[in-house]
Amino acid sequence: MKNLENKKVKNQPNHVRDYGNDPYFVKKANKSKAFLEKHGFPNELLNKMSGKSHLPR
Amino acid sequence: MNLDRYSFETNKSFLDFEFESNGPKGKIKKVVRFSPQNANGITYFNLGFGDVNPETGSIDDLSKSNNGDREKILATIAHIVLVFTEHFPDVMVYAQGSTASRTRLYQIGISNNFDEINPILKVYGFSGSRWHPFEKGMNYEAFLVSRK
Repeated sequence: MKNLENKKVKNQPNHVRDYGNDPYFVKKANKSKAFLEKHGFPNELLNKMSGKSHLPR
Repeated sequence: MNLDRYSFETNKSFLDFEFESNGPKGKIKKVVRFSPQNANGITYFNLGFGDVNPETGSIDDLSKSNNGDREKILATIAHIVLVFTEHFPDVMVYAQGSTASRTRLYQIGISNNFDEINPILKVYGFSGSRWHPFEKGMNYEAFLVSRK
């Protein structure tokens, strides 16, 4: 936590569940994939992201 | 601008955020989920938002809680995006509502919180078959944001 903004976040590993397998969120993520594969990303964002590989997971 | 917002909690993965809407209809648990996804070889995170069904524990995708706190909820979601991208500064976040009216709500949320968002995030909106830098007053089909 680097600043005041984050000090308000309570990180309680056993309290907030993992919603990664919830059908609603799975469906939403798949829908976004279809949209972005069809329409692509803004070039400026892609240029910014190029060379950065510090993605989580 | 620093709009009133709810406090929220996250978990170890920093992908799931919960907060409680509190209004005339009581307390309603809300969830923001950042789902990692890949399109055309590019990793991004889909922002999903919904109410937790207290009986099943699953997300009600089209529920309308009408708890009289829309602006506070939108300010909370905007702040969660700021916190998430502070934790993962090199990612893109995609957001699109389940319906056109929900996408419109995201647009209102971005507009209302733009003074807080704009110095920190690049925001793009999709309209007319391409992405544009976000402008207040324009209508968009979807949104992409990343840290500046």
